[in-house]
Amino acid sequence: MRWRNWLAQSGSARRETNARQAVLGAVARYFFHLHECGVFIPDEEGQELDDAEAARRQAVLEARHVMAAEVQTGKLCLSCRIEVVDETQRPVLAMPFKAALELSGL
Amino acid sequence: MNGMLASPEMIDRGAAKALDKLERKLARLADLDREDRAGIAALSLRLQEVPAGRHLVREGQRPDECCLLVSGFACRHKLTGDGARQIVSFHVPGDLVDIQHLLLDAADHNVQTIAAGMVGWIPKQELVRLAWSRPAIGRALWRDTLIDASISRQWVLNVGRRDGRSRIAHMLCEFATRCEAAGLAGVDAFDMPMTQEQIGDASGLTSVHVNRMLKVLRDEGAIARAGRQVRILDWELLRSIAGFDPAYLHAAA
Repeated sequence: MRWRNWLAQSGSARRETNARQAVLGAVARYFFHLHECGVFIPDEEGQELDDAEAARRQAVLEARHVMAAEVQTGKLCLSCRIEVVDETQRPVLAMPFKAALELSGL
Repeated sequence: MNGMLASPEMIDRGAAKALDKLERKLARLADLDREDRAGIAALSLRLQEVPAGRHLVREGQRPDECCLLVSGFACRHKLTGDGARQIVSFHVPGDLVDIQHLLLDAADHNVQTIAAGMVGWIPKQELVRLAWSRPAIGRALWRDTLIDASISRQWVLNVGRRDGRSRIAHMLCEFATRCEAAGLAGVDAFDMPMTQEQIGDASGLTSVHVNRMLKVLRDEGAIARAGRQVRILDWELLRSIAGFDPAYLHAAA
């Protein structure tokens, strides 16, 4: 995750990153709401990411992690989805679990 | 503490209170006599106010001061080459967060605050001298590092073998128990300072997964959540979900 890289940087590298972001536009906070079999689990905290593309990559990762835990319990629902919104609650993208996987052999 | 506003007397009082916290922690670890206590009270300590997210120790650094957490909370963490973070322990007031640097030169991990607070910097050599000259203090510091290792073993078990729900429950139980031991509040009477993301980094889960597990714990009635705050609602229930047995804390952490 980007901010983790930021944390790992030295002071001067970090100032450089900050300066670059000041030019390119600051990171934004994205919220990852989970729609799970009819249950809505809102994300009240969000994550700071570079842009919508980074949010999409994060949504794929999040969906896969939730599915992996589901699989370990012996069941999996592919119609669940993660909905990403920005700080103004404006929809950025939807990530159906199905779209985060390449399925074969069904 | 702002040097412009605080008088030398105020700073001395602050330092004395901070050393008092250290004394109470060490007294939980070994029987201290009057001279041991006087030795602790005589340590030099430099107070510093710190915001959330401040690095107290950085990997590769060679600290010549030991950091006492006076108020607020901190986490110890390591980063992979591409910057992913694993939190390996949380720290509460009274903890010496980098006690290993008394005997090891270079830091092999990072320590960072997770909430604003106050830290006290103690010259490493003073602490080493005190530990060598007062066996009870040496014993207390030794026991502290052994308990740290015991907590690390528990965390490996937690991340390696518990499912997401009991993993988070266990982490919350440990944190609450340690806060209570540090004299902060009862296990069910304070809000957790960790964010969802920090809970994820401590439990090897992602943010959405943590959110989902916190909802499960809330639906079961074990915890309450208001926005980002987590509070323990039913201690016995949370304990049984976690399989939490505080024996590994040796009644002192």
